[in-house]
Amino acid sequence: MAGAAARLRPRRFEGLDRAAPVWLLAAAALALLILLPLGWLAYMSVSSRSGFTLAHYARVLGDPALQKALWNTLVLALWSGLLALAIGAPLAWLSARTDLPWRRTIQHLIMASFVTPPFLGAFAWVMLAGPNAGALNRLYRSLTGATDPLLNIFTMPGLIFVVAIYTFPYVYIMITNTLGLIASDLEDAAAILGAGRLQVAWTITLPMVLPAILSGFILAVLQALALFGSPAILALPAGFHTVTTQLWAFFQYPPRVEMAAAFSMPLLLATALLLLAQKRLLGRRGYAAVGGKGGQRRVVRLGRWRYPALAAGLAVLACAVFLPYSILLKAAFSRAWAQPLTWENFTLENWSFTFLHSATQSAIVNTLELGVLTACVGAGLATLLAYVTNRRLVVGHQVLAFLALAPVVIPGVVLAVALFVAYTRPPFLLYGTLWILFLAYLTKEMPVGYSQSDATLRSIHPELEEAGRILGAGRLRVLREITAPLARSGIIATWCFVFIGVIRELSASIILFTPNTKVMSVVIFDLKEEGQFGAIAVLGVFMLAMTFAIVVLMQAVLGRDVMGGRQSSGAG
Amino acid sequence: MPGVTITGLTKRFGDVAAVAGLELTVRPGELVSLLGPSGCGKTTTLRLVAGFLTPDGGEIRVGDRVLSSAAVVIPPERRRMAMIFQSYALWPHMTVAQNVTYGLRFAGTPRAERERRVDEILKAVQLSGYGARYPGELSGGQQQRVAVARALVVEPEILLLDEPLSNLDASLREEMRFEIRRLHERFGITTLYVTHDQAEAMVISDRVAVLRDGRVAQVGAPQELFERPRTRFVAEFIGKTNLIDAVADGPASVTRGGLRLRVAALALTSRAPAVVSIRPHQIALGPPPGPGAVGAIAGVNVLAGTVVRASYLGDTVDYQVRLDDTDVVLRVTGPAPARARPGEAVAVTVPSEACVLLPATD
Repeated sequence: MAGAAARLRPRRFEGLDRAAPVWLLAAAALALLILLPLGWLAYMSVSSRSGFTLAHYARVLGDPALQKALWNTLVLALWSGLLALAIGAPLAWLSARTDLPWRRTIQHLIMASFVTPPFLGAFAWVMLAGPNAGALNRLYRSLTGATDPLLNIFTMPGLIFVVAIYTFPYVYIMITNTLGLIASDLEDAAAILGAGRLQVAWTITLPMVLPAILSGFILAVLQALALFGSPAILALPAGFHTVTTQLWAFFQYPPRVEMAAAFSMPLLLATALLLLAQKRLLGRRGYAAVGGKGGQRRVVRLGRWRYPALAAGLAVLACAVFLPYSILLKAAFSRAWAQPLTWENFTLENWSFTFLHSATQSAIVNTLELGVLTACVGAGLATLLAYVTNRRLVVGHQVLAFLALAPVVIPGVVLAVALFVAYTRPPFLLYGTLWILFLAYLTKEMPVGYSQSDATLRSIHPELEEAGRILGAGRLRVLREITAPLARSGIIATWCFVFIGVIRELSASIILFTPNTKVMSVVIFDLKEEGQFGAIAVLGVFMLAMTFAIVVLMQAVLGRDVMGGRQSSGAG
Repeated sequence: MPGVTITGLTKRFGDVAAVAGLELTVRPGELVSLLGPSGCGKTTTLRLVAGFLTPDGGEIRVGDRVLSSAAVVIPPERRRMAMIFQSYALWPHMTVAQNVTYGLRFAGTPRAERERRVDEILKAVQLSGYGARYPGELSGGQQQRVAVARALVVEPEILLLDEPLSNLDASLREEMRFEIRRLHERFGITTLYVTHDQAEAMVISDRVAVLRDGRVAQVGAPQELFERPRTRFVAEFIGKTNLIDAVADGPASVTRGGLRLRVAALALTSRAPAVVSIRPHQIALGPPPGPGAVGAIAGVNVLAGTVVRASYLGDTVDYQVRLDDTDVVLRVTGPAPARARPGEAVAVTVPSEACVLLPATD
């Protein structure tokens, strides 16, 4: 037994787990990241020079203008949620269950809608359906000779429409994933007994998918509640506020921080309650578990409804992708975006103007720097945290998992207010630097990063690590030599998700930026004030190009797409 | 080569005690199986011995070194053990050779010697030349042999196996049972083997420990467990058996209804409850007994019965026989071809040594 005896000499503190400090440090970092700003926010909302007070809440909730903003937000969220449901659910069913033609293409296009920053979509729709110069209106006027516009995007219905076409992918993903779990034999049983196609869908499939439908609706509502860009672009010119635009208004000079803190709370409460409801609906697993392993799924034949269904799907995608992208491209290359794209109108000046402008250059650099930094730190931290919770390395790891996912409750604007409050005072004077933006992005993207890392680590069997340990490798060595190589593609996917999230972030950036620390989304917003649609379009196209480049990278290198599915080789 | 001593081992998960005061001694060089139904605590016990779990009470010693107690647990990497997992746990991103060499890196073995030992062990498991392949390219049986090689090459003091054969198909499983026994006889490492398959345990082990509800119900050599089970649970778990609830009516006989049996006992208390276990293959069937030929004759019970069912299984026939004047139905295993058909009267012959008494309460 020379081998075994020579291997291991007894050491001091033989029983101590030397890896413990690493886990504890990661856990502490997370707690600090999330709890510190929220704590300050709550404190600010009830503090004044004379101590504890509820005066801020009283003013905020009693002010008729602010009440109107709350009401508008409610209307926007519910209607856009319903519209997103009305678009997303049928598309999901058509895509997952029927012989809809061009299914793969439609899925890719829906993914494009998913990664499009909603505020870019809003800008594009201003160019399409603005009452005076909107391309669709001018087309309508030239065809019918009318003087009034057909569409006015600067209205509540316009806002609802634009929000819905960029939030319906959440509903779509949720429902397609669930439909993927339901085996056909449950529906076949009904069909054999005489139910027609539609009856089967209505009486069998629908009830089973109901939790996913409701959950998707809640997700869409949550997204709508937190949006800043689209309301700022479409509602403000129309003369009404939402909670998010109002919060931003509180930060215009002079900043009324206590009011902002108090006004944030209803929004925070609403999102927390909605998420709780969603969790209840889905049970502990976080997705609509329908029971059963799935199995053979036969497609429903649409018959003569095939092409009408395809037309409907393409119409939706025209609104979300074709029309906006076309107008953005046109505006990027035109002298005057409202004029038809003739040879005289074509120009590359927008590009040179934008990219040679020093302010834009520094913004692009800032965005890329922050993107890379946040993605690296975020992916690292998320992976470490997912490892700690999956392997149950510390007491209270469930709390860690909860904290990692908690930021999804916090709308970007509210997070920005909280960070502002926490980090514009000693000892952490971060306002005015890129670091406060970094913290905002890291916090905001943590849920996405953690979910992805969690899924990655779940797929690595703990026995693979145990096998290493029993043969003599310590915990950290096993992490380095066994777990990390196996988790590599998952870690890269996490990096990509976080990076994409950062470059398109607006709602937190718009509050935390200073003239020296602008990012691309803020510059785009600035250009709106100047009416520089050409430059906006250029930056928008550039942002989209970067996003798609990363998405293509993920698909090519890792064999998976943004919506979390493996690339299918056969039938979509 | 040290042995393993487990005393008073306890492990709770929430309110449930998966292991409840387990006592077991594995002698140096012995192969002991932990056998039992799912939930009996055998895998938990193994993982406690490996050091992946901390006990709530009790102690695990290897030789005279305390490895686990409620106060201190030596981490797995310092226990000088090796383990073969149910899923094999081969690292997919490493070749077969890299998998097998892994443990040798921590012993300070020089490179040339490492390679020599890896070659040797691959030859021993009949995988010479497979060193450069990846686990994903191998069959289930080959993967299993890599797992075995990886565990044996480090010359561990203790070898742990967690149901290593359950992922193999039936014929391969049978073949691998003998292979594992052969390797144990060659290397002589103290081994703990977890399984739910009693035939596997019987073939492989020096001794078998039958576990139930976190405790050892009985431990002994396979033959002892089979022929002299000490509890109802063990009698039913190891092989098939007939269990008859009866009452003692003499120093060496029991009765139930119209049945009277001479049993393998010496001093039964009259009217005390008694459970009798009779293995199906120890019962013989013959032509129906004449009147007066029923009873205990020279230590052999001869009873009258009627065949209820006879199932032909190829090498044996499985009968169900109802004993006359009683409610007792016996399961009998006899040689093929069938000696009697359903409805026929038969003589049922059971030697008294085959009637094993178990404690009436389990």
